[in-house]
Amino acid sequence: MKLANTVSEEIFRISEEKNIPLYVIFELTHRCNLRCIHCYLPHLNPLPLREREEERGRSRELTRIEIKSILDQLVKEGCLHLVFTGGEIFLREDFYEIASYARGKGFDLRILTNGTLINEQTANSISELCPSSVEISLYGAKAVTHDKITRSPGSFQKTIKAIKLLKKKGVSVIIKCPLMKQNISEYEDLWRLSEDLDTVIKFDPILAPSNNGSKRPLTYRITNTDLSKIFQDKRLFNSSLVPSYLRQRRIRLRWKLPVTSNFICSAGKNLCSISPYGDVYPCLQLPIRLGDLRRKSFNEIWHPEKHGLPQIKKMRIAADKQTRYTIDELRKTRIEDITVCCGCSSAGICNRCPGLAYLEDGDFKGPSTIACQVTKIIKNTV
Amino acid sequence: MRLITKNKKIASRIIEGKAFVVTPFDSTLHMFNPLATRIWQLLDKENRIEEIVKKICQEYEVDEKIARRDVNELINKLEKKKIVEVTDPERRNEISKHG
Repeated sequence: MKLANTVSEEIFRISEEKNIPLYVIFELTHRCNLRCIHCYLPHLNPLPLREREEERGRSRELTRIEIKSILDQLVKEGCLHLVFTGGEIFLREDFYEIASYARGKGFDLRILTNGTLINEQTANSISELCPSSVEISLYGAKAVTHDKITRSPGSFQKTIKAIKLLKKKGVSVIIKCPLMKQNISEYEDLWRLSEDLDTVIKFDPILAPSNNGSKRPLTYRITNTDLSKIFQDKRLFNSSLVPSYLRQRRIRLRWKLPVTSNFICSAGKNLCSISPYGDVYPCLQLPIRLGDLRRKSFNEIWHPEKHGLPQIKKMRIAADKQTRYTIDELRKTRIEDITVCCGCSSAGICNRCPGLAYLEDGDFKGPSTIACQVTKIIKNTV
Repeated sequence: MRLITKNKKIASRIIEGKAFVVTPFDSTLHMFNPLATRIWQLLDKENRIEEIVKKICQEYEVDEKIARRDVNELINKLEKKKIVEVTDPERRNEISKHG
């Protein structure tokens, strides 16, 4: 009797083949106490209107009883890795009840938060939940930079305090930092700060559009010159925490390993996201609505063919998008279906994200502007 | 007599006949072979090694001695990885009597 050591690939292969939703990202609320300039959640502007909008959203949120019922269904479907995210999840008063229930059901739990609502008592409660990690968003090494991005004075100090409290309680903390024009000058300082805090830092140099198709967050993207500099940083590629599309491609190129096209991801195959209102999507970044958990069971949405239900014909998508897809089409998409890209000479080193292609360029089967840009930079910098 | 209980802090699922277990202390994913998976399932209802050995002997064509050795080996491995907790009430009583 032996315990296997390398199993990630095995479980990934099985779950993708059998369409087991192994990874689920569950947004518990879209309410947030910060007002980050680059947020992917579509919000009304100006800010005062957002308060009312959020209040309306709160009344539509899944109740804890509904959430528990969904978690029960996810257990049956084979979900193991569960991410609780928001908005800001600690705005839900029933968060611990929900999270404790999830732990009791054997989920591997990760918590995404801005940390501003974490105090000594909440840090204790989080520690008792024993999550695999708590991932905290930090946008700058200086208070002025972070607070300007969150548009919330004092948020930097609260976030740093939360990181220290959680570390003290022995919780595994990961700092998440999207790189943007506003904080790129503090890139080195952010590395140092994460070292001082004895935690790891995960950078993402590519901002995504809002989920309603708004490209406003893209105006904060770092320049190609800065992207080139980032891609030359060996620390980034040594870390297992950087986005795989950056790490794998560079390593393969450097070591002249065979490169394969990777235009298709696991969204809708072994991964999905659930909104605070019960909508199921293939991924947080691929807002093609697959179904409503208030109307159908998870199994009916995820495996419509088993229930003799017709594939969803009409899906609500971002206003400026024309193409519509079913979950079946998503799953059956092959590299050859990405017609524009599969003949490209850089295909082997491109790691196009279908969600970004969809949100930014309007078609998840089409080329992705940012992927082309990044691929070009990687080719030139390696 | 040793009593075995699953550590409540670990995460696990049985997928396609194999148990996958995550130890959150080190964020490691473990995969069990079919027999270890069966023992893992039995631990939901049984917490005594003798009972588990008995069930394994009933379900598989295996000598009791070998089954006991294998079950003990697995439990020791799982205990080291903090996947299960092992208590020995008799030993605890002994310690409290003499301690």
